Amino acid sequence: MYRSRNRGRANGSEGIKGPNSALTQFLQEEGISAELIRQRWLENQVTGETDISTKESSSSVDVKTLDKSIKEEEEEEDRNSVNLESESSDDEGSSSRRRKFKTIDSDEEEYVEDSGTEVSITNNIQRKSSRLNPDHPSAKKKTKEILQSRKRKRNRAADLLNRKTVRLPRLQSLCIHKISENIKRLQSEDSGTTRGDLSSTIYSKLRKVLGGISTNNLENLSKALSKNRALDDNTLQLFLKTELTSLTFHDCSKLSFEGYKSLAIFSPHLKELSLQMCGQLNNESLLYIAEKLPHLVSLKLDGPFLINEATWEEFFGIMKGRLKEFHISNTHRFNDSSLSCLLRNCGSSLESLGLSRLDCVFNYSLIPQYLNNPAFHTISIQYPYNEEDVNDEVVINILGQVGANIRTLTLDGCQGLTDSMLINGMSAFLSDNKNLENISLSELDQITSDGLIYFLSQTPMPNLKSCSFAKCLNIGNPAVAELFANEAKDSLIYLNLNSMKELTSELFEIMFCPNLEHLDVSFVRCINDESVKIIGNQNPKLKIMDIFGDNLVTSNATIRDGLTVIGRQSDSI
Amino acid sequence: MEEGGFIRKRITRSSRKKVDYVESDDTETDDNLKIVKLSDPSDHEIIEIKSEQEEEYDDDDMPLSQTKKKVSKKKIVKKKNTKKSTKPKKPKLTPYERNTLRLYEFHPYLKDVFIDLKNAPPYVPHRAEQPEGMSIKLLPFQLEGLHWLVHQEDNSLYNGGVLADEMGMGKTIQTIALLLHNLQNSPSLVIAPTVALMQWKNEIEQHTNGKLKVYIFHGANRSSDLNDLKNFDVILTTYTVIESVFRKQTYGFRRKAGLIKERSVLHNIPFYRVILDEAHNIKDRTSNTSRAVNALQTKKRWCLSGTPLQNRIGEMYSLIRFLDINPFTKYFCTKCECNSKEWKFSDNMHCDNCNHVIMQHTNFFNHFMLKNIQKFGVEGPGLESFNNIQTLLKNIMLRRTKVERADDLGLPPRIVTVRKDYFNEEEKDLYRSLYSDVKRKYNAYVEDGVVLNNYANIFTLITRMRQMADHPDLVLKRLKSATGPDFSGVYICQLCNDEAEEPIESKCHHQFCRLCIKEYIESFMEDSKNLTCPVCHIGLSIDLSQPSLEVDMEHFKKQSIVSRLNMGGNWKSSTKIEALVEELYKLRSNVRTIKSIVFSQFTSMLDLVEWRLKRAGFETVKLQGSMSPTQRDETIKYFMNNINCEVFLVSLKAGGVALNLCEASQVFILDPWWNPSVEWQSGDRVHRIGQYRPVKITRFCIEDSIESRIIELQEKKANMIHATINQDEAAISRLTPADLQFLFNS
Repeated sequence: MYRSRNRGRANGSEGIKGPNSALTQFLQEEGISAELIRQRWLENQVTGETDISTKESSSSVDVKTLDKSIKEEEEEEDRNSVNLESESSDDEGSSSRRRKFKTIDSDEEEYVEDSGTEVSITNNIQRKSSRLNPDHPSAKKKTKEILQSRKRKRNRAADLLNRKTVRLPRLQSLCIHKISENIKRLQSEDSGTTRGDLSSTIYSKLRKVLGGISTNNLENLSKALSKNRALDDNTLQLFLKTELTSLTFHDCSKLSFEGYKSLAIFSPHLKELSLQMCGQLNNESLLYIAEKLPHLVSLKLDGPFLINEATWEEFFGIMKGRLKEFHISNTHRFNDSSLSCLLRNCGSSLESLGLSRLDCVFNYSLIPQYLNNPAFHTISIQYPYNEEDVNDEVVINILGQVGANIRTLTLDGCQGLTDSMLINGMSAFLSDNKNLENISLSELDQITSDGLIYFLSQTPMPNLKSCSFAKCLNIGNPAVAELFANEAKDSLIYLNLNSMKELTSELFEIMFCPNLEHLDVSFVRCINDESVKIIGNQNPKLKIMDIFGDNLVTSNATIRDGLTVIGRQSDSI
Repeated sequence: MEEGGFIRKRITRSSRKKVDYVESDDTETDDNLKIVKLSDPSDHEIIEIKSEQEEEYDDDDMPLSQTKKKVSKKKIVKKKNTKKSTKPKKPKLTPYERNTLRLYEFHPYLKDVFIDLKNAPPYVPHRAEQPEGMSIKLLPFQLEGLHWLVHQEDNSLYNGGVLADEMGMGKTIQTIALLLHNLQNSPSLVIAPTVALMQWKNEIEQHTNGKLKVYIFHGANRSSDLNDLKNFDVILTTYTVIESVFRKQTYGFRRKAGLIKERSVLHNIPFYRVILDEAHNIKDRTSNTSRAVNALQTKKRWCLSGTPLQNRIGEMYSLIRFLDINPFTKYFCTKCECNSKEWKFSDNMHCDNCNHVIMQHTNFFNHFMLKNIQKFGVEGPGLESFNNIQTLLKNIMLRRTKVERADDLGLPPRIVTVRKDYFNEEEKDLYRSLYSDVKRKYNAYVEDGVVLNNYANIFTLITRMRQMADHPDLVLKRLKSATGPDFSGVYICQLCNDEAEEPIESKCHHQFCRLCIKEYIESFMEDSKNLTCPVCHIGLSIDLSQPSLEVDMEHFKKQSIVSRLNMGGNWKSSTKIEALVEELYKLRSNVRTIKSIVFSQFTSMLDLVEWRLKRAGFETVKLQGSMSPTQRDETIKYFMNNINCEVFLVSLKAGGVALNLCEASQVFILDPWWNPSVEWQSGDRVHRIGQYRPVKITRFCIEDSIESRIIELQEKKANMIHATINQDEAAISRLTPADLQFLFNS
């Protein structure tokens, strides 16, 4: 019978212990732990690192320099393409690369002749060997440089994301940036001490120190606050007791109903008010706004979902005859009767009406019955709850009523619309309208090329500035070609062709839009390096081009000076 | 319930036989009347119930009890008739009624159970005072909830109940208010899923200003000393832990020295109340978890659940059993006065108490509430049982829905859209080849008639196709790593998202370039104690002078998919990932910050997306199932408090429930899931109290892939299930052969 030979020993005085390596044993006995090492390292940080270097051992290390320098070159090239100032021609880039190669040690010349793949292979090996001796000074330097180039790349990707093309911000915007940064800090300190009055004195002082902030800068300040999610009842004080006539808050989600009230009381001159994401705006404060702001003619609300039917009724009663502009979105308490109340009271004075994502409005056919102001210029109906609620007939009636003078027509996401709306509505009533500036027909998947061709051929639009056919999946080359033949091509500033998968690259060869600044061709799969070049050259003022999901655009694409291409995979991968 | 159901069936079958033997005197009559029995009683039943219903609609309260009495009177009349042995009347008795009568005979007090329930005063909403020490102001309906909770504890026979408010209505807050209501009534034990544990702790601390002392009974260094725990007001633990300590106490565990039984601390503390959060975790009453919670010593018992009835009515029983509501949880003997809460049949034949055989015992809940619904659905005797359940629930459960309390809640509208995209040429090619391959295999199964035998295979094939629609690498890289010995893995630095130079590893197992992490540590301005890991945001501990990590093949199989990518710059994104990048890019603006949550059910997809987004300049955090509660907590905090952190990546399984992410207002669901309610729940992460921004949920769908079919199937099934009441929720995630046919025929 087998017996463990350890048995006798296990019963000894030492007791049972798990398997430990000699090293662990040693470390435990000496009391060395990871924390201790970290402490030691921290001490080292203070005294300063003095690394004694050893001689570099292999020439292959130099390959890394080369590799890195190539990377840097690429960096520079990429930056060229983004930067407005620098030269971008391909030839020059490569010549400068050659120049750089010359400056590096002579014995690397032979590697330049090698094909790229070989370099990368040796490089790989090298990386591993350099890992083995991390204290190697040159290796260290090189990795540092690699990391820095990566960082640059990352920053560039972030800039692209923010559509930031200007490198040097103005002093004013810097100040505002600083203020908004510190306001956040102030708030967090403030909430710790919970002294509301202290903060209010700080803000009033802030206003004094800054002197009269210009209205323009107030706007910038409000943007910066919203961006930092710092707009609340405290920071609101910055905007009170001013002569402002127009105010826009882009993120009011932290403003309480008290805040809205004080806004109404202390800014009586307001004519135009736009409150985005105003989730805490309640019945009481909306009525306050209507009563305390006698000059208010324009109100844009996004997400006022606390306000119920009765309040809407009362509100429109107060605003009767003076409300000129009313835009509302993202609420499920604004229903058919609220809409009819709006139209009955304010229909004759309204000049601009916007309805978006209203889950309880079904009867859109009310709209044409009341709109009779000859100055009516903007109609925007977006994303109705049921697609059949906004049908051809409704839109045709609306256009028949206000089409002659309309400047903006937005029908995004009204998927019930068909060619009939284009032919019997838009073509019929917009053909004599020379004022049309914006058309947006995004996500209308039922309209076809034929209908759009008919509309565009019938309707000259000499003042059209912005045009969107995003996700109109059935529209092909001929319709967009018709747009490029229309008078509108000379005035267009913004064009959105997102996800129009039927388009082919030939189309862009006939695209000449002298004033076009922003083009969105994301998910138009035919866009390739060649198209980017052609579009860049034929549209001299183009500044921004979105090409998300266009996988044929590679890092080899030639991008004209002054044009920013956003969404290219190679820029960030 | 499943097992319970089976047991029941077996008993009924055998009991019928036995009944015949026992009542041997009646066999003649029974035989004579068998034919009539089939048709007659059911007619009568229906008529009876109809009349009952009519009366129910006519009046409010009183008639219910009256009808009930009438019914019972009828029964008594019948009983008399039977005793007079008037044979034609006899067939009206179904086995159910016969058993009822027997039960009533030996347990007369049972007759009044439902009558009493119906006569109990109906729930009248009544607002409690805002509790002292509660820093958050309770909403009106929450105050009503608090009043009900207190009432249930102090002035009712049930000593607890079920708080079943819909998700996102603040069940946690109401419970905390209850904990605060009377501090003498402690300690309390809260059992919650692991994800929610930290949230409980935070909410208690946040809303009570530290008035309650909280102990988290979780993790390796939890206390095993009874005295340590005595000083706390609230003890938090998870279902897994309670199950584990219970198992160690009752069944023991094997070590060298043989079977060891460890005394469970939790089971030896006399609690004042026990609260089960997400109580459907004990829906299977035979599971060890259920046993573990049932074994706790406590005076008051509470269940919190947004979906108390997920699949079957039997699940409700498990909750009732935990709540220990008499007589619903008891087994009664139909032959004598014996009754007990436990099923005690040591010899598997005879009751330990009264020696009667198994089939002469019946469970009150099963008999009066469950069996008939199983048999008839919600009609006939089933309807009666269904009403019985409703009456009981009215007394022990409080449920408010968001729709009912919309005005109190002030929730934003919830917009759900589907973003449709199409493959590009390359992807389409790849997908088609996979699809034709899969279809060929499927057709082979169909021809052989073995579709259901190969369900697992087919399911895997479908999963491959779904992964292909996300990104081809999810399929291709997986195969490569499984077969190819020559692939080379690299470590990816979590700071620069590129191949790591001199990779080193932190204590929490994240890899960085030595220089990156060094720079990160050096650039930190404040006290180095507050330094956190850039990935999981717990305290950072890393040895900067450790040797570089070497590539270890075994290790890489477990690593994220990103480490297997081609870092040479040739990696290609997919349509879906780019669509997400575009959506997020459009949300970027210099005038506001909108945060988003991204859900996927494939963790490798999340890895890919995270990597892609970081490279594109987004700041992201990720929540995975493998993270510890502290890591989860810190990650969530980081997302909530950091303005620049815009995207929260969550695996659908890890973060589908019990997460509160109000800072975000956009949800992106990358891949459609079979069960839409899972997707619905993920939307609830942002659509809850405290959300003041409009909520938008975007589901991604590649039109020319299987995903569009899945969505179609979902809609089809949803319609079907809404049309028939009889179907249960689970049917929607079941894939029948017809469904498979639908998926493959395009």
